[in-house]
Amino acid sequence: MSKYYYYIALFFIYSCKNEYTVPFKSSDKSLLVVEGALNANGITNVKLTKTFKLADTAMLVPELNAQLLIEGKNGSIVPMYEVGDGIYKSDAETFTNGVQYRLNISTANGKNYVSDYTSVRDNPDIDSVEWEQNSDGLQLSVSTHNSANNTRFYRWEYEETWEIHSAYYSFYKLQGGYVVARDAGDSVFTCWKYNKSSDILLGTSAQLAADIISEKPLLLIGNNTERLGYRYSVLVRQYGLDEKSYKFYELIKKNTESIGSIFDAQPTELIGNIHSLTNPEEIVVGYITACPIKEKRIFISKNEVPGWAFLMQCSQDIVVPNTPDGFATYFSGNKYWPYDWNEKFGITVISWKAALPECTDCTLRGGNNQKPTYW
Amino acid sequence: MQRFFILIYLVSMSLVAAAQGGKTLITVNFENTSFVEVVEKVETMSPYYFYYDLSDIKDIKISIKAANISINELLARVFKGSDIFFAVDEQMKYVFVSKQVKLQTNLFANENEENTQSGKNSVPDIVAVKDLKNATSPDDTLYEIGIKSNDRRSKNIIITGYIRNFKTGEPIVGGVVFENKLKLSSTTDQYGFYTLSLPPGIHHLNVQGSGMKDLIYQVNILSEGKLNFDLSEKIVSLKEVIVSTQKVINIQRVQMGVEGLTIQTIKKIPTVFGEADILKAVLTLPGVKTVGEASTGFNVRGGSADQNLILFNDATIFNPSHFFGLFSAFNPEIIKDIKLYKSSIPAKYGGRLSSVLDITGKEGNKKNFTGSAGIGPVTSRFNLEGPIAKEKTSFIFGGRATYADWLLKLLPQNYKKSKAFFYDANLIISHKIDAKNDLYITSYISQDRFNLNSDTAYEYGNQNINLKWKHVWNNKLSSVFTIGDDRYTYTISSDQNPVNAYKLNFNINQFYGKADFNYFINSKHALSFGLNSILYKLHPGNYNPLDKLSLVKPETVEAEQGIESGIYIADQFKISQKISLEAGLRYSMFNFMGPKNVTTYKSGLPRDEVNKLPTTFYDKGKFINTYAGPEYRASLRYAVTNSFSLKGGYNSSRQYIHVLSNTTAIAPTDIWKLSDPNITPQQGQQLSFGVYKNLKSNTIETSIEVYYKKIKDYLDYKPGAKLVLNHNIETDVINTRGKAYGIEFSLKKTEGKVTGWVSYTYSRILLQLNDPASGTTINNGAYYPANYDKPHDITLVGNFKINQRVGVSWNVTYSTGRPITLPVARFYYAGSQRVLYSNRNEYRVPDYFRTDVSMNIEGNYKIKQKTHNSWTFGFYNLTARKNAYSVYFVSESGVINGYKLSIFGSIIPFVNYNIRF
Repeated sequence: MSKYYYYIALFFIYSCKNEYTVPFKSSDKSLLVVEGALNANGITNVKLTKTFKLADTAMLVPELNAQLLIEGKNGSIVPMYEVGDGIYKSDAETFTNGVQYRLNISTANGKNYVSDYTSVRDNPDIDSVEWEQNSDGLQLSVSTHNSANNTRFYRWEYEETWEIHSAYYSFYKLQGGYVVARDAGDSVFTCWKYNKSSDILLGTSAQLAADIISEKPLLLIGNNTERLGYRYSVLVRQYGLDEKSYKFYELIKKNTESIGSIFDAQPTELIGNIHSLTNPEEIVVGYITACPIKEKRIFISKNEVPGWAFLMQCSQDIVVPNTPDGFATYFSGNKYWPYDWNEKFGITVISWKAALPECTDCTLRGGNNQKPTYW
Repeated sequence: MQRFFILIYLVSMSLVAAAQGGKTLITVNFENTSFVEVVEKVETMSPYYFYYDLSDIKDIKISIKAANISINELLARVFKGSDIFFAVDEQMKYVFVSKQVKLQTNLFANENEENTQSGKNSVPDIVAVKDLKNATSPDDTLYEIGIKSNDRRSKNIIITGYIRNFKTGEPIVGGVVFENKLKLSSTTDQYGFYTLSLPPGIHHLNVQGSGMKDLIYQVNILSEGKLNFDLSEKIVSLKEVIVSTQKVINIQRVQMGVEGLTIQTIKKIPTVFGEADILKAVLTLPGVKTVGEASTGFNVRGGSADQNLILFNDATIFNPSHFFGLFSAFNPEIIKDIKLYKSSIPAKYGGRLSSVLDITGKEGNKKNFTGSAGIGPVTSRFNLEGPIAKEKTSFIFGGRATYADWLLKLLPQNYKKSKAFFYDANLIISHKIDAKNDLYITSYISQDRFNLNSDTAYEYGNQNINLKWKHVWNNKLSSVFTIGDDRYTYTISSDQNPVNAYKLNFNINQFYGKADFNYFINSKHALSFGLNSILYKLHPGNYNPLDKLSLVKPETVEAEQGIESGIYIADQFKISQKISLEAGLRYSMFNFMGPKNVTTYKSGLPRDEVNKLPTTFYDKGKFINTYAGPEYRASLRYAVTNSFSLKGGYNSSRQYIHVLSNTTAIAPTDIWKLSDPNITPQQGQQLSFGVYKNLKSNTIETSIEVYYKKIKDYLDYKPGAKLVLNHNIETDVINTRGKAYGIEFSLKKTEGKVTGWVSYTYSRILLQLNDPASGTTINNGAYYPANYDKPHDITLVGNFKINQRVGVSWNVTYSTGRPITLPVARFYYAGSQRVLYSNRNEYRVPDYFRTDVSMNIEGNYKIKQKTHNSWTFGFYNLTARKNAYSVYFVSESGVINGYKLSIFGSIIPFVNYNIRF
């Protein structure tokens, strides 16, 4: 005997995706973020910012008008000054040996924060900043060592500078609908571009018998990129850390904006060493360490790197008749910019050489035409 | 009219040896003679003595002429083509005649269930059935077991036997034979086998099986013997009044925290598409929770999902769900019943801390071919069962498949391109070699494939097969030997960008063998003991390019292997009529084996990059390290009265395989990990206490259970951990300590117009990591709730039978939202945008609430009609609450947006129309 089931059904299904707003606890709304390290031998830089909502488009919310003090356990007090954009600076100071220091912050809204007192960590000089050409480009690395074997944990930052040139030397520029000659000081042929490290660079010699960091990779300059079009420089700044602060930086390194894929890291709680005296429950992001900060700058020229070729793609140089029609067609809306005359009849220009604006003006490519002092 | 035939066999060792006589030949000549007259004649001319029920044979007239034939031949000729069956006991010269039911001429020595009409059955031992009053009522019949002998022993006599389904011959698992006055009882094992020790004399035995009609038998026990019970299914009956039965299993059972559900009960719980769902039914039980509406697995008493051992006929099922967890991976048509052990876990089980979900498959019908087939919008299915060799070998096959793409088209925009497909198939073969030996083969396969959005495809599947041999050594000792192979694979692939299109593979294989023995010493002691071993092989991640265009670099996380072994002994000790103790000891051992590169870390220091020591390579098969330890299982029952008992239990266990779930992704990715030199096994202890009281003639069952659990070395991830393709995952995980406690209230009504249960659970599971030596703390070392901590949980499941044809079912459930670690803010630090997370599990997703209602209308109950039809219609999520399926965050054009996805965010009506013919 067999049974057969005939099964007919009707379904209606609805489902939905709704915006989900985190049920914030009020304390999480806008927290203080402290970035920086106390320089035991020089100028201390500290950056104060605030956290902002997930849905905000802001890039950075600086904490302005705060009062910062570097306090030594021996009672010494070093004031810091606001430079702007949430950056605070001290004068060059030399910390007393064996004394612990902390950072004391009073914000404009009357809240008071202090970091834990921290010992000054030894920090050796940077032995060298090297570069090596490989198939992917130019690998830059740092080496250091401490014969006293007592730094062990390191953090680095770098600041890059490189020279860029426009494709065409711009002798003229558009001004109020007319073509005028540029002053000598108004040259936009050579610019310098700057970049700061956006990775957290950490290294440790804890597993090694001696406190040596050898060729720790810092960054890779991709093959034939603009950075090495002419000349390039990098300033490497080295901080000595203790193990706890090293762990903090390790965590913050994992803690990026990347969310939602299976390969992303699990959530990170950041527990630093800065506390609110006003509200002990409040979370403060940041870890204050102290050490003599060490720096080293190197330069690399294009001709030191065999086979390096950077070519700016600027084929569209055109000829524009020096007529209202020519101007209307080519120069209106900054489509093209004139950079030189093309044909002259006596002193009367008949036509201009013109190119895309970014081919004539290096500031449009993110450069600054003021030569840095170290260049 | 229902007829019950019970044959009672008695076995006497002394007799088997003693009596043996030559065959008697008979000469007969009857013309239209009544059977009774024939019997009288034959009895006078031969040593045979006939037993029969007068009502069976009163209309039979016999005409036969034969010379010098055996009694078997004679009867075979007489009854040829009729529905009368007979059996002949050549030793005792007894002849048994019965109508419609084949006589089981079992015997202890040789149970031969062949049609006895042929007379080929071997010589039975002793069978004595005496009709005292009226054979139609089992109550009134006295069944004698054994033979009267002069040396009547006063000590207890052991009777054994099977409880089976009268219609299909299937064994009834968890059936109870219960002697009411002496409070002696025995529960059948998974083969329907029981062993009961009773003093000689007359007893009333209650026989119960879930979903079956209860019966009471009057027996007179004379000596050791075998007694089989055939129970008939509870059938909807229009006129008969079903007498309220004496449901006392919950009171009498020594174990506590055991929940059993039959497939009949499961089928009454309304589910999303009207398909019976085993896991959804389990979730309605007190103390069982799920992380989310559509998540895999379940959590028992503060245990994580990987702390449940899910066994389907002893095969471990690693992923018990289909289709984002919306359906359970078990085909309800081939499931007989389920049992969930959440407190007293029998010593034979090991390897998981929280619970054992024991799912028993059906045995195929040994008598007839039956089947069903269906085409549904979500699943299509086909089931077939029947005998391969009549009465000896049977099979049951069940298969389901779906192609539910159309369903996904209705999902939110983001999921429009989703695809989903799954299937599962089961085949169970059971073969009776002889009375003492049975073989069972169980095989299971399931496969799922789905795209949550257009570019990432998930695939997973279970494959299981095992072979079991049940052997009865003698009346006291029986055993089951099992070998099997379980596999689970998991693949994620993405083709979003051809350049980094990848395929990521995980799998677990385990090969196992076990031997389980039951030894019934006497009415006070019943021992079980055995040993088992599992060989694991895990591939924790193979990352490969999807095709030739892809530039992904292949990466493989080294395979892991290990052996987990256990040996156990347990005794069910009946201390007095009121007090029973079940005590077990299990000793388990785990060996982590090569080939493997093992990284060690400086001792006493945190396992991290900083403290790494050089790796050591171990050869294939070499034991790298070993963990071992005892596990204790004990439960005590004090029966205050027949309907009121107190129970207490202590349980400890060890777990050598761990799962880490990726909680930040939309789809959870499970990483399985064996214990190794760096990852110590998890250990758990549970202390529980319960009060059980039945009211209104046992039609209302109430219970309160409290428990306190301690968990050691539960694996949680470190802040910022990377779980996928992590070659040194020990540096990203951490051993936490946990404590869980809770109280479970349950009220169950088993009879009447309204049946069902209501349960409320308050429970917490808190973890802590405050060991400074571990190098990191979570939430500054404070206790934090585990991912599945849901303190309040109320479930109301019920069925209201308006009349014989119309019934209404409902399922109402509320629970606290689960904890979640949320990104709470963003900030700029060290040159990059970063996300600030809350403390671990500081927030909770919104509370969960859902009401489902369904109504079932049966056509009519006429037995003789061409089609039987029924309607089921109902509403899933009647209140249309938008319960969160998942809360997730996405970076979208410079901002991070949070979303709550509700899969069933509205009321879902469903209608089913079934025709059967």
